[in-house]
Amino acid sequence: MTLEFVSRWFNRLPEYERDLPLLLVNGVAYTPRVALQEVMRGTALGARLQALIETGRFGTPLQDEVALAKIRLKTLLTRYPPDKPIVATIGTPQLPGKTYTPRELIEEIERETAVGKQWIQGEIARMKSLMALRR
Amino acid sequence: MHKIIEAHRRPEHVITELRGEDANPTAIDDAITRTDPILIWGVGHGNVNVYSVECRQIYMVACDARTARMAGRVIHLNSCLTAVELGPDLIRKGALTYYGSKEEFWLYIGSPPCSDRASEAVFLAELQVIASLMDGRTTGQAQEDRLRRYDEEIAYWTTGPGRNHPDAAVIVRILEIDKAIAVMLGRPDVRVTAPAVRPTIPVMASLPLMLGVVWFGSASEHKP
Repeated sequence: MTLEFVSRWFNRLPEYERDLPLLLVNGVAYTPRVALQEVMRGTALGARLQALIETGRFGTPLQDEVALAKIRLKTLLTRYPPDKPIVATIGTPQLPGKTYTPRELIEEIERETAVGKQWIQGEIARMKSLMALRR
Repeated sequence: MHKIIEAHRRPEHVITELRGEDANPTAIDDAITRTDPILIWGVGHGNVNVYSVECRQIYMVACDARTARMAGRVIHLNSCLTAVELGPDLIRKGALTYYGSKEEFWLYIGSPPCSDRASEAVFLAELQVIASLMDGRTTGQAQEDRLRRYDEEIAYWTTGPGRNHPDAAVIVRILEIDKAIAVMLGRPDVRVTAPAVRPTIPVMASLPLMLGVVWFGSASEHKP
């Protein structure tokens, strides 16, 4: 496998995903952009990151997937205006429709409420989708 | 929904639409009695055991008498959580097939409803069920089409033209969530389109959360 492989994968990622942590080596999370830089520099770390990308793994033990997903979501949601509602659900007939701001979503994710867990599981699915883009 | 109906309608389809104040429990019951639809679609607030229509009036609760009205029909409730208790109860009461969501259903509100692809993204995937059924696909095939449509939307916002939208990252995440909770229960072998059949009914209402409620059904059941 080559630098070209990693570079092609990186270029397929949308810009908004390139600086979110995705790959874990020795307990440290690296973004796709850092991974590409390390591979380009030919470092030992780059070789390990490249191996993860080529095999479609995050490098995380199962229990760390949740932690990584939470970090990614918090990083992503802090890019948005914190108090502007951006998403909503259509549940709960007895209550007013529930809209969520980025700040509220971060709280739900931190506390791992039912809504927070939905977003965490969705993020894990998202991480897998992004690794699949290498093909 | 109107775009879907326009694109997939056949001359034999009889479609009834109730929206706004017309999407109240009495009017819906009347429309079902009058037209005996094979397919009913609705969007509204829901919870594990309840589905509501215009102004959050409760329409069905698991185990109540109204759920028996769904016997012999294909039901799609575009709502939160109804797959937990209400959907299974509808199947127990004789509904042929049920589509819904087993957790909270998410939508993007960064732009006005139905004003652009972003606000329509999750509904394009959900409404694929109706498009497929109107094309004569089986209920099982319609579920496959629904999931495939989610994948297409995710691709649109990841590697396609939507990737540069300022909120693409959030839109793609709610698509991943809604896809993961998209449930079908009951028979996978039902077709709802008929050559010259009983009417298709339908109802539509708008909800405070700026959503519409659409119900529609069609003729008789057709096995593959």
